[in-house]
Amino acid sequence: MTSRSMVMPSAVGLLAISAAMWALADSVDFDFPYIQLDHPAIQYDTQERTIPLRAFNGNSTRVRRHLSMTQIGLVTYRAC
Amino acid sequence: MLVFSKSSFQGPKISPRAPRALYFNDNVAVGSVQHGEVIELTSIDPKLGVIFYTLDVAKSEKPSFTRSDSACMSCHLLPGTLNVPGLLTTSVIPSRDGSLRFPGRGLIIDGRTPVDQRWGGWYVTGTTQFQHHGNAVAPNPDQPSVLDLRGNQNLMSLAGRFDTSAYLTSTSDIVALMVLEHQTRMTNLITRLGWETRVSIQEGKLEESRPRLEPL
Repeated sequence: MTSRSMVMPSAVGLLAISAAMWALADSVDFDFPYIQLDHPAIQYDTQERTIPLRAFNGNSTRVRRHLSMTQIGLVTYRAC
Repeated sequence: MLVFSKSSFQGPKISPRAPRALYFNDNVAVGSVQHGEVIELTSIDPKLGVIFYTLDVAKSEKPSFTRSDSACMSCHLLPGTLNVPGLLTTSVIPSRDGSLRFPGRGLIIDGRTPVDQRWGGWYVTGTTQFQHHGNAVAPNPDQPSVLDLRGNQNLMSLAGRFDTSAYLTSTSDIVALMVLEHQTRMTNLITRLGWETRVSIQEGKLEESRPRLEPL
């Protein structure tokens, strides 16, 4: 076996990744300025929300809920 | 899906022997860590975008979801999420215990990322003709950027790598991963478009902003 043929299997199985690539990738394609979370048009922390979890919390003091997992891994809940 | 890199705020409890499980649909994503203190959740609001919650795992008479924006946004409000609270999937270089060889550095991945750069730190089952970074670690501290890919491609089950009985399935499906990566990017784009449009309207600059908004 030549030295070349001995090197190739290792080269296939081991992959060196340039750390520079990771740093570069973080900065590509993300030219979006920051928007204040409390901007009057946004109000991220205080805006009324219409989300499933909020509905769940709103009802949790009035009815008991049972959390369970379906066979495909989705969390479901039902009143009980 | 299952992720074994310590890239969550419950990272100390995550490892290749005890990966973090992620479940998602169009509106909600759930993260669960073995022996974790909380279940992590994101829920998508039509106007606000992604909102972060935790649910204590300890039994309670009145379990409730608690907003956890401050803890989550250190990683989920970045240029990589288009500078709105958003979703994030990254490919990292993990060591044997799941810690990051390059802390704070990861490739943010979405539907545009070549498969051969994806899934570092994730378990991946299913077949592909492309060599990816899933299931692999960089075992040698003297060569921290060298992933050992041997025996880590085209797995059909994760049995034998850890106790899969603690999970709903013994797989971390490649198609689910690709759907998630597409969805994270789209969710962030839709949120960003909504936020910029509302800000522009509120400030009376919609026409001025239109050239910027239309490409979104």
